[in-house]
Amino acid sequence: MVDLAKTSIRGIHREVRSLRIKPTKIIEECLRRIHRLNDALRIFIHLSEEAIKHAEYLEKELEEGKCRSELHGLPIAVKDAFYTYDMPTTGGSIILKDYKPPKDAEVVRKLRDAGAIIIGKTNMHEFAFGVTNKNPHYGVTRNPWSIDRISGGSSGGSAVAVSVGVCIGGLGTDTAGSIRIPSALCGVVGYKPSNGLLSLDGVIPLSHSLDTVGPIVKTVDDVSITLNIMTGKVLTSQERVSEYEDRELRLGLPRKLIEEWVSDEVEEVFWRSIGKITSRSNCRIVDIEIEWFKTISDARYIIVLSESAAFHLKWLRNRWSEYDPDVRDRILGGLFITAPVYIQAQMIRKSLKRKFLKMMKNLDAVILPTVPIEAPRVEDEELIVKNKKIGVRRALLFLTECFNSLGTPAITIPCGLTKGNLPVGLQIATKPYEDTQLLEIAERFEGVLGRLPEPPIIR
Amino acid sequence: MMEMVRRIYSLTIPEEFLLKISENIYKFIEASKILEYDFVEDNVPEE
Repeated sequence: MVDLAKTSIRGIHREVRSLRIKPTKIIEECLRRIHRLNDALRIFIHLSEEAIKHAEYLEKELEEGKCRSELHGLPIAVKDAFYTYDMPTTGGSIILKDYKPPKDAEVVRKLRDAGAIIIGKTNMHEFAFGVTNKNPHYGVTRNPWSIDRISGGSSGGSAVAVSVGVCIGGLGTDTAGSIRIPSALCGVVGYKPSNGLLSLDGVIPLSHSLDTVGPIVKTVDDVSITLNIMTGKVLTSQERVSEYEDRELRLGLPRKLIEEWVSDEVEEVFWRSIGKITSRSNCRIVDIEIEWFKTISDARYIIVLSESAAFHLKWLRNRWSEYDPDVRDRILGGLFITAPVYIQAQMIRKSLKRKFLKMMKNLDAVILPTVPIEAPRVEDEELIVKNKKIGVRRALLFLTECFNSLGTPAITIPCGLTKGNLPVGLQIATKPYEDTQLLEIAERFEGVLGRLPEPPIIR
Repeated sequence: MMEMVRRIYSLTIPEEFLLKISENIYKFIEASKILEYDFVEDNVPEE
């Protein structure tokens, strides 16, 4: 029987298309593994009752010679922030525990039209407002590399689902790093596209001007496949002529920031990866300084607080006691931010985007670790990094959040394991709307760095 | 500010609770220096 943790979309598609592996068998195997792991890892909030029925239908289409796409008959796990017509959408909350959306989110509909089977809705940080996935209502999503540690969030359930092979891909949302953080901590590939590239229709918002949605998968090629399907355009293809084939890549690297803020364990793996990349691929490292790193972080926080408070107002009036207190306090904070402060934050964002574009004039991409620390233990609230005390939440999103404010695409690919056998992610970002170029660079580096083994829990 | 927030949003949350939250936000805004950002490079006239 095929193990989805060891394969990729393109790898299994050949087997499914020829019916050497049947969609019904894949779904049965995934459900078996979910039932074995879900109590320990808290991956799913809902499982589809229709998944086998959908698989039977799609199998029949294959028997008749119809194949809709590379995702035909393959299971996808969807964060519980996306509307699904056949399952509730809770947003990881109790407030919406019985909410049955009237339709699928736009990107979910596109995946289903392409033949994907939505196997279930994954656990998340409540209302996507947090990066630990410690959910008081549906449990703490645990890391398959070490179950006393968190998966990271807020799309933690989708990242774990992909990591342990109970689906071929997952969907997440990313407002400050919610796709990239759990992907990095769980050893999979997570992609945040340029702001606006993928539809947010039918997605519970956190912060409408910063929200993005994207895939969590096993390989960069899997990102391309799902992205093409969800945009309805051929952004990338195997036949495409490489823009960088004969040219040296110039990679901006914020060395000072890394040396000051990234833990020794992560730094060691990161520099080893940079060594491999520079020795085996035609590229040059250019040291850059991002002196406005704290400013853009502060502006983003003001924006998220304000926009989330506006969305949650209807529930803050009478249902405030039903929130995770930590999430509620942050949302309530948004009520005390005045309009001029919010607008100033948006203006700063625009100003810093101009500075970023100026910096990127002679660069192809920026490269840095995705998360400066290893996956924290469940009980950790604060950590010491480079002799500085830092809150877990702050540390987790420290290196990802600026790319949401800048609107750029950013990807995390696994780049190795720490001495403690925990995954480290390498983050690459380009200019806004250079998604195709970013995937091309990421695929090249993935080829140099190789893939991680499966997490110990399924070995 | 507190009175405005309670009235226009019709909140039932206890006031002392909101006071603590508002105080944290004001401290954050002050520490962030977000209102002192220099837009000179964006062609905005100086003070």
